[in-house]
Amino acid sequence: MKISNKKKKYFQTESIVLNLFNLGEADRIITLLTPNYGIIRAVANGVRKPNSRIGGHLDILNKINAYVRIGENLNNLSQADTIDGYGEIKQNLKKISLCFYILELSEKFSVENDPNNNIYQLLEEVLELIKSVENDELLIRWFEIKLLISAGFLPELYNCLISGKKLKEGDHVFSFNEGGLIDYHYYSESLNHSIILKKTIKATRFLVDNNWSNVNKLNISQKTINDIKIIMQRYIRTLINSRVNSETFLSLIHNN
Amino acid sequence: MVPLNNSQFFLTSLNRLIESFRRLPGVGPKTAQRLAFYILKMQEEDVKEFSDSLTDLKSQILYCDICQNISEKVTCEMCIDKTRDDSLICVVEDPMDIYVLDKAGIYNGTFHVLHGSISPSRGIGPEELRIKQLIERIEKNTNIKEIIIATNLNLEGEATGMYLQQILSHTKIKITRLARGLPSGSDIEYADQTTISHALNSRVDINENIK
Repeated sequence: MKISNKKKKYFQTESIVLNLFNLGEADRIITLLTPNYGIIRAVANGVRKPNSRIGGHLDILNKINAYVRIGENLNNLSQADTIDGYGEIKQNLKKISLCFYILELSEKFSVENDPNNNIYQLLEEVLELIKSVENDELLIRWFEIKLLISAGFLPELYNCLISGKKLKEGDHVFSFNEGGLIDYHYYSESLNHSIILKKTIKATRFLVDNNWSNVNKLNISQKTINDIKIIMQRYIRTLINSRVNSETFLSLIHNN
Repeated sequence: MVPLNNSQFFLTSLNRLIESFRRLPGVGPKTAQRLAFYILKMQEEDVKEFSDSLTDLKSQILYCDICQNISEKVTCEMCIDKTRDDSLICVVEDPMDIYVLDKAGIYNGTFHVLHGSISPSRGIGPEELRIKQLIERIEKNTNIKEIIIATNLNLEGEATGMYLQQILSHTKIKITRLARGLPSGSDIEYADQTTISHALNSRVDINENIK
């Protein structure tokens, strides 16, 4: 579905506010993630003034009903009302730091005008879980893997990406440039490779194949979660060709 | 930034000025062109005064060694002022916020400017803000009784406030946050859930207020 349909001047959509940028004296450019249109960027006029009718609805992380007027260059956000302000999350700095991270990742892996956006459903589910989750480290790892699947970057975890042969059980090598596992004897320190232990491979496969309610029951050591984190964050950095900025703040708050 | 005009009709110096204006917030390509052509038509002495004021801004304006507000002296007028209550520090994001809070006329304490708020997705963390200077100030001045966190009421401002609260929690200083609620002149029907819940939670006893 393409939104730049000339007959259609307005549309209404549920969305999550990913980012805000100040524009001019009192306006903002809002980045929204939607279920049917992918990422939408729209100008919201006058929303930085205290008396703005929609300003209060437009905070990062809010789930809102957005009324968007389609423009030639930029869309315009004419109305907004909050569906969920995630108040439980906004009172906890640790949860906020998680959200900054997952929102940034969602923005980086989403595209504009994407009608089949599974990332929205995933983000919505994870935000709901963050409200009450205890093992947030594991939840973030599960989110990273599900996000990669939704964006079409599922790492290969069963066959060697160089020889094409099925990998035997054991320690292997994760090739970040190839996007998955390769046999141990292809390992090279000079290439973008990292050794991945047998139990980390097993746990990663489990995260790929299961929903959160199954993953949450999994008895997984902190060391394995950390190993998955190192692999996934390096793989994500290779894919987007840059750092995820919120990573630093997330580590700062979680290590305190 | 992609040059606006590579055309030979536009002189290099004019192009440079247009590009410089385009870097300013809220200035688009057309406005940048208009401003550049306006400057071209200005009297030479006016242009010189304008350019001097721009260079002076960077060379003469310092950050106050106490509150980190912009100043022309090492310590700003507000921090020198003995009539101000230096046991109170109001922490704000930007120098402009000081102007607004001071204009209200009911606050006579001192300020501290962070020069931004925590914005992880833009790579702005606590290290990029003037939080270290605030901690040093608190350690030096044993007279401080209260810190009022007056960062903006959005997720980034709240994260900044919570971070400050976390790192200052070991001190015995009272830490407060600006009240949140409905702005004057607004209609309740347009208020969002968060504002309404804050307004209800922070409701005040009218009788007490009248006293």
